[in-house]
Amino acid sequence: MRKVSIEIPETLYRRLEALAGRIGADSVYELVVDLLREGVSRLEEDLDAGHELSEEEVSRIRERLRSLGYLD
Amino acid sequence: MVSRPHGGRLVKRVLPRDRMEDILRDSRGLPQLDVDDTIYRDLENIGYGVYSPLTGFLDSVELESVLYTMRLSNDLPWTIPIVLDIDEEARRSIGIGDTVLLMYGGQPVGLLMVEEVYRYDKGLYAEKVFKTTDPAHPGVARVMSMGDYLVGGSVEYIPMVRDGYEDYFLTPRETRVLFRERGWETVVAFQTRNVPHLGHEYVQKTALTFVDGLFINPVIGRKKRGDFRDEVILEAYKTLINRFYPRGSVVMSIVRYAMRYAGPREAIHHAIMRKNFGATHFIVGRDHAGVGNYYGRYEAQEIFSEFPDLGITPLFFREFFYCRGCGGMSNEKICPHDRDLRIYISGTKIRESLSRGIVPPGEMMRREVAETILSFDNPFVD
Ligand SMILES: [Zn+2]
Repeated sequence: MRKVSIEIPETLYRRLEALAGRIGADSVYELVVDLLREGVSRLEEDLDAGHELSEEEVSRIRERLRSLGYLD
Repeated sequence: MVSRPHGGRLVKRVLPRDRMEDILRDSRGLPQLDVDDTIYRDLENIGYGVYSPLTGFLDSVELESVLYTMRLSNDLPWTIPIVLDIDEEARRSIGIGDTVLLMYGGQPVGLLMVEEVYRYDKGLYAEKVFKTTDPAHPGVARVMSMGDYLVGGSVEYIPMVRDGYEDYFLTPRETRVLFRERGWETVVAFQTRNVPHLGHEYVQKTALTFVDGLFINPVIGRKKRGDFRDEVILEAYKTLINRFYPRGSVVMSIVRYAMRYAGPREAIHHAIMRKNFGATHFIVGRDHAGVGNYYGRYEAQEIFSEFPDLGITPLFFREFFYCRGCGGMSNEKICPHDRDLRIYISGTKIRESLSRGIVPPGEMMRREVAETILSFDNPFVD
């Protein structure tokens, strides 16, 4: 295991604490690790699915940027 | 990598062209609402994802969360309420579940799916957002003149109104592609409502020294009498960039937005908007987004400590001035000399000089920039 320390907003911490109590997680720590695991998988899926822009959209944008002189 | 959009996804709520014609043909049956300048510009910013993750105007739960915690109910930082107000008469003409056609200057500008109509406390709103209920504060004055109800619901923007600045506007999708094409990993954004003087130039160049690209993002919108006209600001910047900035390190494009003058809260909002454009850093100067003496000189910088999770790095600057002791441009953090050796840059003096057709002192503004401004018959808003 690797130990990291991060700053999170007070409001979020309080919600995590309350949530940990409600779902019976042993600690905020355990809940955070679960949530991170879930979040990381979701982001990886998004990236794999090429969620952002299609090739066609990108080339249309490139063309506009060129016509306006933003790109050579 | 440029910044991830705020909340993770870049929102797009723009009515597709093929649907636009159908909607407009059938729109006669829809209830209509006239929106003001502020809301119209908010609508565009929701549409193109400048306000990601917002997909519409805040409902009562989100408004309360923003007012009390400066965050959306999912905990994401959000400091300025994006709301649509209506009066009693309009309230009677719309119902929950309706699709409403939003009109601006007699033209359709958006569709609103009505999810909630609710009352709100203007005094509380003003106190929380502006830290004052003084009606002399322009942001407070607007809130006090708003209708008594707010409408929450998602929107689709109809890009129909033209203002002549279309070629200066890039959407967040476009700036993101542009930054990537230029190979920029780090981008610092600068927000402005003014013509550039030497102080602005030094702030920008100091920041640019440490990142790959500079994104100058003038706010186009309603101005006060005596302000520089939008086209003057753009031309002045073009001169500065073409003559004095390294080609390929700068992008200038506009954003249409109505200032709230909410000081610290608005500084966070400005940073979020630039994060959505793809910027990784954001310049915050003295009295950012302030007005009068409502906020402390550096309050808009201090508030960032409450948002370690903002996702864009603020760069705090002190005012630049010319110092005869230093022999060049300097600022309080790096200059050891007495005040009487310094020439402070005064926006008022620059304006005064230009309004008499005179080029301001070279320690305040570049001659080339001043001459560009003076090439306009009247550079000021009447
Ligand atoms: Zn000095």
